[in-house]
Amino acid sequence: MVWKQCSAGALIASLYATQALAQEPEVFSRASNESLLWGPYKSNLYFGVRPRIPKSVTASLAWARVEDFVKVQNNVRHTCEQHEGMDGYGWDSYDPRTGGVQTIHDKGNGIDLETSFVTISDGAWAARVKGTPRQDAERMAGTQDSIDTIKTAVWFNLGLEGLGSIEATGIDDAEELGYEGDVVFDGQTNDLGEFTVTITEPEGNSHPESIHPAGQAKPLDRTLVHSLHVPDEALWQIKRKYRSFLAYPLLLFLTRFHSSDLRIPEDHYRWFRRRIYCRENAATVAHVHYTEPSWPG
Amino acid sequence: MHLVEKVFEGAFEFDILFKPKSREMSFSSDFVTKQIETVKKNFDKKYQDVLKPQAPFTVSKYLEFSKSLFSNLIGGIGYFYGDQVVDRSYASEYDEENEGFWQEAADARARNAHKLEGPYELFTAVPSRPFFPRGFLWDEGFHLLPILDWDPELTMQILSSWFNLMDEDGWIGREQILGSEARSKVPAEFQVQYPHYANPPTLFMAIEGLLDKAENKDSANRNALADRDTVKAWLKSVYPLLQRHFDWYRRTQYGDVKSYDRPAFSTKEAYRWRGRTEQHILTSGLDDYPRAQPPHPGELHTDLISWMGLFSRNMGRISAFLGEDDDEAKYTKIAEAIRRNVDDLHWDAEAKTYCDATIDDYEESIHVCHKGYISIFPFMTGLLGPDHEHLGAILDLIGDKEELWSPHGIRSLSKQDEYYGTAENYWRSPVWMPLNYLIVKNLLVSLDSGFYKYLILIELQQDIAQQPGPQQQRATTMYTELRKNLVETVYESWRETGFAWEQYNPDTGAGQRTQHFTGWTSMIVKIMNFPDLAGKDSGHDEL
Repeated sequence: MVWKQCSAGALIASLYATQALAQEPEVFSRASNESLLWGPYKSNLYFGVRPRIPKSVTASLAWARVEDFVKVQNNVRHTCEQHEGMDGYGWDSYDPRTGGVQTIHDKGNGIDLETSFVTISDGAWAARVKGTPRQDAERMAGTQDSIDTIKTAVWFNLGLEGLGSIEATGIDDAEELGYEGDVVFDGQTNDLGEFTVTITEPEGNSHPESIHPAGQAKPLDRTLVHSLHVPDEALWQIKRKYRSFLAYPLLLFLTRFHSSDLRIPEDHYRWFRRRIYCRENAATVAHVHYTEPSWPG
Repeated sequence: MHLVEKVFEGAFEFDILFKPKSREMSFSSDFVTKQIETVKKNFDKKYQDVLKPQAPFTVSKYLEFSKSLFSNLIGGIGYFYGDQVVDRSYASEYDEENEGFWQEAADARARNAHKLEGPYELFTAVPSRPFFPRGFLWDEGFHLLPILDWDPELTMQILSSWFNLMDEDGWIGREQILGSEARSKVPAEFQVQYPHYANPPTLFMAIEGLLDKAENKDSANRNALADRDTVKAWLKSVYPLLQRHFDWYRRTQYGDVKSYDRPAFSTKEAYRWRGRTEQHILTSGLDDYPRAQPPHPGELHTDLISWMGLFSRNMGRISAFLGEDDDEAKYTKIAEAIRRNVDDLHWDAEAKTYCDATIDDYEESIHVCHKGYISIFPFMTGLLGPDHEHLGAILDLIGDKEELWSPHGIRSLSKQDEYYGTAENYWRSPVWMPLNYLIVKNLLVSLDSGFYKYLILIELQQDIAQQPGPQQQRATTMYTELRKNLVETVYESWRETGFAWEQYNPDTGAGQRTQHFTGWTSMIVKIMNFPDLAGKDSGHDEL
C-alpha cells in the first residue's frame, strides 16, 4: 500500500506546521491574531503564561506555606496535580481574547489564591496574584499565632527558551539584601522585541519579621531574585528546584520560632544544608543562554 | 531563568506587568484593577447572550456552575511545542490482516522501532489540566463545540493547528505528547504514536457546527466574530488537508465486505478500527467496550462506520459550501452508501439494535451485539433521518431502565449485558457526558426537524387523534428528563467535591476516575443551553 512507503511524512508535516502561522493572517485579521498571542497557555500549571510562539518567554507561579519544615517539602504548588489537598480550583470566568479570573482553594496550604490574567492593547498583559488565608487553615503547631498571620512564600518564575535575554535591573544594589520595591526586568527576543516585566510590591502587604540576626542578612520584607542558567530542556523541571530556594526563608522562620533549638530532624538537616550550598553556588547573573550544556542535577 | 521570591504574612497581593517597549504608554496597578473589572463584566454580558442556561436551570447556581465549567474548558487551552515519539516502521503486521493479528502486532511493537520526530506545535484545549494536559484528537471535537459558540474564529485557529499536524499520508496522531514536559506525564508504553492508528474524527462535528453558524442554521450564537466569508476563506485554506485526511481514513480503516459475501448496498463502505488488541480498541476511544471475541480481521465496527457517515456528510457540506460541485457529488454518494450500509451490515432484526459484525468458525458473517453506546451510534452521529424505520427501536433502548437509562444519564453499556460493570469497567456502565450530549442533541434534532411530524403522521395513520400522542410525548419527555438528570448529576458532584469528573456512576451519580476533568464533561454547558421543551408535553413523568 502507498501509505506504508512514506516514512518522511513527519518531516514534511513539521514544515507545514511552521508555515501555518504565516498562512493564518490571510484568513484572520492581525488584531484577531494578536489578541490570542499571550495567555495562560501552560495550562498544565496552576498559573503559567506564555505566547503562542515555539520557543519564547514563560512566566509561572509557585507557592507554599513555609512554617512547617517537614510539610513544606511536599506542599510546593506548581504543576496541577490530582489529590494534592486542593478544595477545587479553576477559572471562574475566562475569555482568551481578554482574560479572566481563577481561584485556587489550597486547603493544604491554608490559603486561597486568586490569579487574574488580562490582555492589554499593543501586546501588553498583566496578571494579579491575591492570597487570602483560609478560615479552616491549621494553626502552626506549638504557636498561638492567628491564621491571619499565616506565612506564605510565592515564587514568580520568569524563563526564556531560545535566543534572547532577560535581565533584572538594579541587581547590583539588590543582590545582597533584595529589592525594597518593584522588581523590573528588561528583556528582548526576536519575536517579541524589547519588553519589560514588572513585579510590583504594593504597600498593603505584610511580611514576617525576624528577631534573629539571620533576619538582617536577608530581610523578609524584601523581594529576592535568584537567577540561574538553565538549559531549555530543564526549564520545565523547575518544580524540584523551588525547594532549594526555600532554604533561606525557612531558616529565618525556624530560627525565629525555635531560636535555641532548630529541632530539624537529622536527615532533613542534611537536606537543608545541601540546599543552602546549592543556592550559594547559583549564578546571580541574569542572562539566560540557550547553549547551556548541562543541567546541574 | 529568574525566580522572584516573596514571603508574606497573612493576605497579600501583587501584580506582574508585561509591556513591550514599543508600547509607549505604561500602565499602573490601578489600571489593571479597572481592566479586570471590565473583563469580568464583559464576560458576564457575553455569557448571557451566548451560553446562558435555559429553563429549568435558570436559578443563579446553575449560571455560576455553567460559567465555571466553560471557563475551565476555554481557560485550559494551551500551546504546546516539541518532539513526539512515533513508530514509523510501517511493519506488515500493522495491517492486522491475519487471524491472530493482535499477537503479531504486539510483537512488532515490541521491536521498539519508534523514534523522536518533530518538533511540532499545537494550539488546543485539554481534557484535564492535572492528568491529561495535552491534545487528544477524540476529545477535541467535543471541546470545540462550546468554544465555537463563544468564538468561531478561535475555533478555526485551533482546528488549523490540528490539521497542520497531519502527515503526507493524511494521518494525525490521536494523542499529542509534544516535548519532554508533556512526556513526563505519560508512562513510556503509552507515549508511542502509530501512523496506522485512527481515532474518532470528532473535529468534523466542530466543522458541522461552524457551517451551521455560517449558514444561519444555528440560532444559539448571535455574537460570532467570524462571518460567512471568513469561514469560507478558512475552509478553502484547509480543504486539501481535509480531503487528504478523509482519504486516509477510508484507505487505512476499511472493512472487508467482499471476501465474506456480505450482502450490502455498497461493497466499499465498511470499516474496522486498526490498533485492536484482545481486550481493547483504544483507537475507538471506547477502550474496553465489549467487542467480538476472539478478534478477527473480518470484523466490522458500528461506531467507526457511523463516524465515517458523519465525516462524509460534512465533506459533502464543505464542498457544497465551497462550490466544489464534483467533490460534493462524490462525498454525497459516499455518505449515502454509508447510510445504506449501516442498515445492511449492522442492523440486527432479532436484537432490534445496531451491532458489530465478525466472522464465525464456519466463515459466516455474524453480528456481535452488546447493547450500549455502540448500538445507538448511528443515531448519535445523526445518520438516522426523522423518518428512519429504526428510530423507534433506538428510543426504546435508550429509555429502558433495565438497559441504558439510569437516573444519572445514559449508561455506556446495558445493564443486561454479561460484561456490565466488569473488569476495568471503563466503558462498561459509567455515564459519559460527551456521548450523552450526542443523545440529547439528536433527540432535539429529531424533535425539531420533523420527527414530530412523522410521529403525528403515524398516529394519524393509526387513527389516533391529532393531539400530541404517546410516542411524541415519550420523545419529548425523554429529552426533558435526560437533560435534567445529566445536569443534576454533574452539578451535585461539582458542588460536593469542587470538581468536574471524567465519568459518573450510573447508580449513585458520583463523579469518578480523573478529577478536574474540565474537557468534554463541560458538554453539560451546551446541554444546559439547549431549549426547554417541558411545556410541550402534558407533564407526565414516566417514559
